[in-house]
Amino acid sequence: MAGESRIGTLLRYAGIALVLAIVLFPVYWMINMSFKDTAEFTARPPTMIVKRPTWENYRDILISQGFDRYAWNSLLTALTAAVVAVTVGSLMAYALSRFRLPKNFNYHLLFTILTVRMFPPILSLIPLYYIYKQIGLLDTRFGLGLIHAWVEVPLVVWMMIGFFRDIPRDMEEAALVDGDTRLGVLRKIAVPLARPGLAATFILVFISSWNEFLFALILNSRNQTLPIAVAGQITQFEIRYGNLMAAGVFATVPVLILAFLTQRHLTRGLTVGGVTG
Amino acid sequence: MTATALTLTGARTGQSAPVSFEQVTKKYGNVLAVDNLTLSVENGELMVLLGPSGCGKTTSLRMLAGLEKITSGVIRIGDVVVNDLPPRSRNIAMVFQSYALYSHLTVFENLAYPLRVRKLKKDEIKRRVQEVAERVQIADLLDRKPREISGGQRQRVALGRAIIREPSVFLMDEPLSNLDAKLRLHMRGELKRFQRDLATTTIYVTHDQAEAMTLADRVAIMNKGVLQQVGPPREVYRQPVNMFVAGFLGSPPMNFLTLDVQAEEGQLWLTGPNVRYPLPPEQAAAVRQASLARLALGVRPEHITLSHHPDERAIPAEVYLVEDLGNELLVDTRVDGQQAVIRIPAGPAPSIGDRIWLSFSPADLHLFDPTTEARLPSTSPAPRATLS
Ligand SMILES: Nc1ncnc2c1ncn2[C@@H]1O[C@H](COP(=O)(O)OP(=O)(O)O)[C@@H](O)[C@H]1O
Ligand SMILES: [Mg+2]
Repeated sequence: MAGESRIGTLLRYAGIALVLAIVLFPVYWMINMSFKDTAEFTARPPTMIVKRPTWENYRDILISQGFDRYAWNSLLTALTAAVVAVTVGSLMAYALSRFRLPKNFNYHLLFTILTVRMFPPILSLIPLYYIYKQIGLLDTRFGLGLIHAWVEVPLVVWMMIGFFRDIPRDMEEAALVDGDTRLGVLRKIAVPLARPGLAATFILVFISSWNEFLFALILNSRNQTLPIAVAGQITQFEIRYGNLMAAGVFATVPVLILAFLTQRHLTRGLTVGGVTG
Repeated sequence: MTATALTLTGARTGQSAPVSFEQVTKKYGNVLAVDNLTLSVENGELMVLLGPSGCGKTTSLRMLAGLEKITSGVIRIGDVVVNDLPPRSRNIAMVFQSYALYSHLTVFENLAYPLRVRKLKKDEIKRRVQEVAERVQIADLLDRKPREISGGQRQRVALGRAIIREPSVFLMDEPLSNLDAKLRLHMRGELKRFQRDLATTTIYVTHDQAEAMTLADRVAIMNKGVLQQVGPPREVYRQPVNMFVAGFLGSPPMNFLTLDVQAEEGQLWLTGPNVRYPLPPEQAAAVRQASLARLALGVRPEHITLSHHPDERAIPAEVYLVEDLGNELLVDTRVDGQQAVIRIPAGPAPSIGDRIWLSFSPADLHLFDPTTEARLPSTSPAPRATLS
């Protein structure tokens, strides 16, 4: 940054502010609207800052509609998805980063696993519905979590392989020579060193499951998750805008809190693989 | 402190085991990294694997450690064929070139790792870590992480982690190469001392011939995956089996002059445009037997004396460059366009362009076949060390 002029700095910050404004405005608008009553909601032109803030919308979704139940469903589903996807995906990533299969099979596997994300999810929905019905996973949070994990495993593998590759090989070899087993090395060396990556992928899978709509709608209609409940504010007869906004805020806040709590891991995990001695 | 050292020593000696490589080959695809290596290391011996970068030293060590599969051959530790044993079942300790300390663990935990894996009791671990830490002088660093200590200290931690248990064999892969020159000399001495005290079979890899010569009980010199010669430092230095070994040991390396062989007046001469050197009788027989037209004559820089007066039995040369190292002079000369370096004590230096005469004792003369690069048979000076 040395040598940059004052004007350059100013322009840079102005640019950042502009981008932030564009990105954050819808979020602000959602919060703003969620505190408006029906009258203010329909006012034209709309009020930029709410004039008569009310908790009415929140009371509606939380007490009348029982959103806490939906949040609980979402939490269980997302935790299942994140735990399963990170465990399975990072084990696969570790194997692919450490063992060389013949005939360039590492590469083929890594590529093949991406195909999970290549066809539209809706294609797999109907077969999955029948399979789930047969094996009794339909309408379970665990079953939905598994599907979410399945969708996200490729992401975990691709992210974690970079982290594992960054761990110095001879550190693991030293542990093997020191008398440890492969699994011991994975647990005591690789996992601790890849922790930022594990945290980052965990959160990404969690968020993606938390927000997922299609599978949640079809495969788990009895234990609705938040996105379904939010969409439920739009009915055949009316759109409950106030409730819709409040529900949106309610569904977003936990994810924001989670992201803030783990910010340090997230930024480190998403920017570098950085394991340096 | 002495008492501790003694118990450590006592506990360790019985465990050490000999090692043998029997016709061991390693291929990476088409690359022949180690070619038919046969080498036995005696119990308690310090064997140095010496050779230029890429000659297969690390690969040999890694095969012994179980970190690399063997393409063919047999490796034994003691009486056990270890070919198919995982590293943890071989009871070896290794110091890596990069030290390979566990960067997320404290120095204490680094040292404790091999003991924790073996499920030793907590206080036993604590006692031994303390003991070893004092031994390698890092007792005040036990709470630090590897990134918070200096290179020399890391080296000590790596060493401590190796000696904390009772391995059959120590493996060290260029353990000093990341230290600065002064510290390297110091640690070299310490390593030698540790090895003596522990009396554990040690295989030490380096590309630094000075390090090899000072540390080794025996040196094994490798080139391009092939073992060239094994013997005590003195022996490989005095009787190198070929031009590679001769040129690799010593600094500056041995001089080679390629000259024609001529028989005249009942005597053999080595000749060039300006050279006419009478072969000493003790060498002549071998040369006759080999019936070569050309020979490579090898002399070490420190074995040459230099004169300003013409001499029948000396080789004429022209001074090309003089390097003053303070305590000695390196005189770089040209003999018929071929380079010859002479090392002499500091004193009056010849000037560039001077015509000088190089002479040396027949005992310091080495003769090689320039095409095969092999030493001519029986031209070695009378053996001073016993061959094994
Ligand atoms: N994992 C590997 N894959 C392919 N070639 C290798 C591998 N490891 C070493 N080599 C090759 O084997 C030869 C010997 O290497 P190495 O044992 O590391 O040499 P040194 O330790 O003596 O410098 C080199 O030519 C090197 O390029
Ligand atoms: Mg090496």
